Amino acid sequence: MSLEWHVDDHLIGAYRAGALSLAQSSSVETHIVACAYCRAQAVGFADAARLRATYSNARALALTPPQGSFESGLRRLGIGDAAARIVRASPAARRPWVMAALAMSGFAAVGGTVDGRAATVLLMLAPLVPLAAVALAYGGVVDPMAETEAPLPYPRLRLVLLRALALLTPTVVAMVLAAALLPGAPEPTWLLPSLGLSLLTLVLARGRDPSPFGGAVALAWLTAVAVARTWSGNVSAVYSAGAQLAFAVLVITCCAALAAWMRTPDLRNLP
Amino acid sequence: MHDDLSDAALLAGVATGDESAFEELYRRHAPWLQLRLDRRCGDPGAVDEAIQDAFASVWRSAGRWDGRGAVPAWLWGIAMRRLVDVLRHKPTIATEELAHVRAERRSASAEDEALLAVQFGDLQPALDRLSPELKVVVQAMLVDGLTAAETGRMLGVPQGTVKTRIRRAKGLLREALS
Repeated sequence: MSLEWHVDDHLIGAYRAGALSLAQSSSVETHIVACAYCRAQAVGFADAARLRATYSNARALALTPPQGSFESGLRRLGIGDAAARIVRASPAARRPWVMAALAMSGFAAVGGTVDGRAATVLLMLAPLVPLAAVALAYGGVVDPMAETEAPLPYPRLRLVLLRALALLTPTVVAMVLAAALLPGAPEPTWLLPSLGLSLLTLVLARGRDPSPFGGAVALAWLTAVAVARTWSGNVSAVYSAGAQLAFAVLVITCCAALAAWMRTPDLRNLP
Repeated sequence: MHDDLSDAALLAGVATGDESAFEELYRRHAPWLQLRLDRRCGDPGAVDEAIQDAFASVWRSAGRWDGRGAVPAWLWGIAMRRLVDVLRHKPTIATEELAHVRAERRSASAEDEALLAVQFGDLQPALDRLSPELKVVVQAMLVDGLTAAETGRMLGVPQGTVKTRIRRAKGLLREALS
């Protein structure tokens, strides 16, 4: 196809500066799509540093192995490709399964052999497992995605929440499965407190590194256990029906707050 | 080393997992995509993410390109939709469906083609007289090839509003031509 004219440097400069009318800029655009010569000329007008960074990101995304069902599940929830991959590339992404399964097997094994007292202590510690998963969500020091993540415009809150979700879900699922399958595992009374403490950590952290907030929440939980023990002489008070109801309210409130933040478009300026 | 290959041949290479073909495809097309997307969105981060997602999608779905139309127009269709995704945090099109992004303008009826075929010569004054809200719809649908639904999602207005606006714009353009 021979075209009578090409987009000269002056015109493409004006185009980049937004100085052309709709008719003129549309002409430039339709021409460039059709003309390899002008596409090559455009190279000199693009931002080379951005192109290099974008290339390494695109390559990293492309070469990540095909997504699993977890990722496509994220996509169905309306979470983009890039976010899904970032979540999956979280350094701790594969740890929580192992951690949770080991913890629950430990509880089961010990709970089955020792008396009720030790089992109760373990039951008190169970909610701290998902909490730890959430606290680790920010990634820690060695993060292979840190470099490729930096140029992404994802708000940090969104990123932390996505990662936390990615770690919390498998941890809780693994714990529930282990508790259901292993004889001697503790009653599922730990489930609501686990979710409540984890979500509370995320609400408190609000996009910042959740680990110190996780530590504070864990401390508060252990304090509550100690208080329950001195007051009622029975640690299980933290798992009473009333406490379960309170944790259910906490879970719902935290979910509502997090959902509202996720929907707010302008999160980038938050701490 | 791929300098002399056609875009279609590069895509075929990408489909077989040839990283250097992928790099060459990026080298050829990312610059103009960046220039054009920068004119659509003032946030360079969002534009870069759209380009990154588009090329990652191309890597995964190059083998499913149906070979109709031209590669640059196909790439534009993907990149522009990825930009809408980034801006709306919502997939407008799944990776599996990328193969069906037609290189031709998807909404291109014979009339649309006629309106644009004049290469904007006769239309220029009429186009530039359109109100800003009509201009943006004309740009999204007639120039960028988005559907009414995609345009509505991008602009945050109902699809019906987009259709009304494009009808009005086309009416005005037709008037100017007659």
